[in-house]
Amino acid sequence: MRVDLESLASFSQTGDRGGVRAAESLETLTGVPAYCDLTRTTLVDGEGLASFLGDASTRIEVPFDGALSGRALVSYEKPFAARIAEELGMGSGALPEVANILTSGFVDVWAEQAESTIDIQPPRPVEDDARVLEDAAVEGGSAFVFESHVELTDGDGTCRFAVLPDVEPFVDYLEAGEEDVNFSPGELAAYVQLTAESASAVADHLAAMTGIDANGVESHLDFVPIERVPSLLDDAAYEGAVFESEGGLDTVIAVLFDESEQGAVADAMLPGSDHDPSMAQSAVAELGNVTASGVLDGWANAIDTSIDISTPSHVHDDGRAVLDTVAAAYGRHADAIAVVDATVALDEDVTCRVCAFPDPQDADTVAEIASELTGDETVPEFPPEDAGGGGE
Amino acid sequence: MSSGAQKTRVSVADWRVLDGKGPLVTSGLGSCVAVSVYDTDDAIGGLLHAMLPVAPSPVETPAKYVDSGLDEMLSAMYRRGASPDTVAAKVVGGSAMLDISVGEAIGDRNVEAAERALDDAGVPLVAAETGGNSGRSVSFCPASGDVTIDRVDSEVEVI
Repeated sequence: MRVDLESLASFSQTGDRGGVRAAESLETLTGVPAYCDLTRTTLVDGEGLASFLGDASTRIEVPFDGALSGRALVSYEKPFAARIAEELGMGSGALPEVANILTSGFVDVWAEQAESTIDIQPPRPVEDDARVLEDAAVEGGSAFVFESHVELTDGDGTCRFAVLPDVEPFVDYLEAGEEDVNFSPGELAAYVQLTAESASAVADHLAAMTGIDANGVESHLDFVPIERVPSLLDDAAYEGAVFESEGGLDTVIAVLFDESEQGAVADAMLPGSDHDPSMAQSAVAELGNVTASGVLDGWANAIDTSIDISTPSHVHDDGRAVLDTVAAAYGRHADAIAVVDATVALDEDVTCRVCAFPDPQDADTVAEIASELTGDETVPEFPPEDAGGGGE
Repeated sequence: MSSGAQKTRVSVADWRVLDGKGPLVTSGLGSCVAVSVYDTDDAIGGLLHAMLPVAPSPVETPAKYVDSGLDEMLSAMYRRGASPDTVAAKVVGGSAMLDISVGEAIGDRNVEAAERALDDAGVPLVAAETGGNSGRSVSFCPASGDVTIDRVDSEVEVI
């Protein structure tokens, strides 16, 4: 038995329906058209949980128990909170009510597939983020987060809606729906380790090329319905390069820089020089190449193989359009996909986002890499008889 | 309730139909295509953001595909009162931003599928802004049929 990336990716469709249902519930309550922008099912380590809270000023916790236990954390950006308060005429008292409605809408989708009910507890304001994170459902160093971004069609601001199920009952719930699948905490932690190693490789190679040490590194493994892939990025302009790998593992890997000012990456690469646009483009492509190669070399070394990387496609474009193209490329073969997602902040001017999309048909190879990187040869296992069901 | 010309977002693999209000917007078009169909007589319009050219059979998510998504959207428009005799279409997107072998030439195939599906449905294609190697965002006004195209590093264009 092994952690089945395909099953987790499939389950992201359920999370997506939950996010959409939550937005519909909000629309029913307020009368304002609402939609769900991002939905992803994410596997993250305990320290990485904080990045799913965002920096919103108002946060409400809604615990739930029954067939599944855990908590939802609803974080309101100020413009969103103000609009909700205005529409419902309840002032800030509307926010716990909305948190309740969102959570109820989301877990209803889970409850439809569970054998017993899921009960929502009264919402309560979060006074202490650290306490919430300490209480969060981390098991064996990893946690699941179902993240949705709910927005009002004609309003500013976002409501970040994160559902954190307790790991053990959630894994039981997953296994009840899938035969021959075992999600042990150790195996899940192996994937968290894979993402952490990848992010670390990104940070190391960027530092080597620019002389700037990272001042923030985040990493997680996202599972998203294929049509949600573009929403992993915002529609700001990103500069970077996209590569394709083949050999030991087929992957598309995007190395994209979010610049405060155009040319900031080239400035980091070529300090003091007055570079022209083509020189700047070459510098970004080279930085992307070294970074992507660094990640893929780590994976190839783990399983003692070689992974070849293509020449880069340089992009300076809307981040969503870049990922839209990747999503369409895989869309014919997969309904959902796993994404190794790493963010490295170099300084105030440049953030590097690396999204690696291993071919879903190479899920076993990814599992093997994760296993080798943890140094634990017992997890995940790869029974030879499983090979017949792995290809599609 | 809100009033006025509020934006209605159309996600990837989705379509929306409006009558009179607007605009319909979709962002981050890479190799996907946006098919805008409108009936100028009744100010009814629909916008489809499709990822792939041709649906399998049976199809679970019709809006993901150009052909089945257009079928669904046109049916919804006609139920709302649009006339098959007075509708017209504009197509945007289908770029080739990345040189990757997986899903090769998907942008071109999406555009061809849109042209074919519109022809099959008897909807005249009156304008198109497709191909190239950059992403696009689209804002579509059902009342006028105007499609406003925005790109990084380019002037806004209206077709």
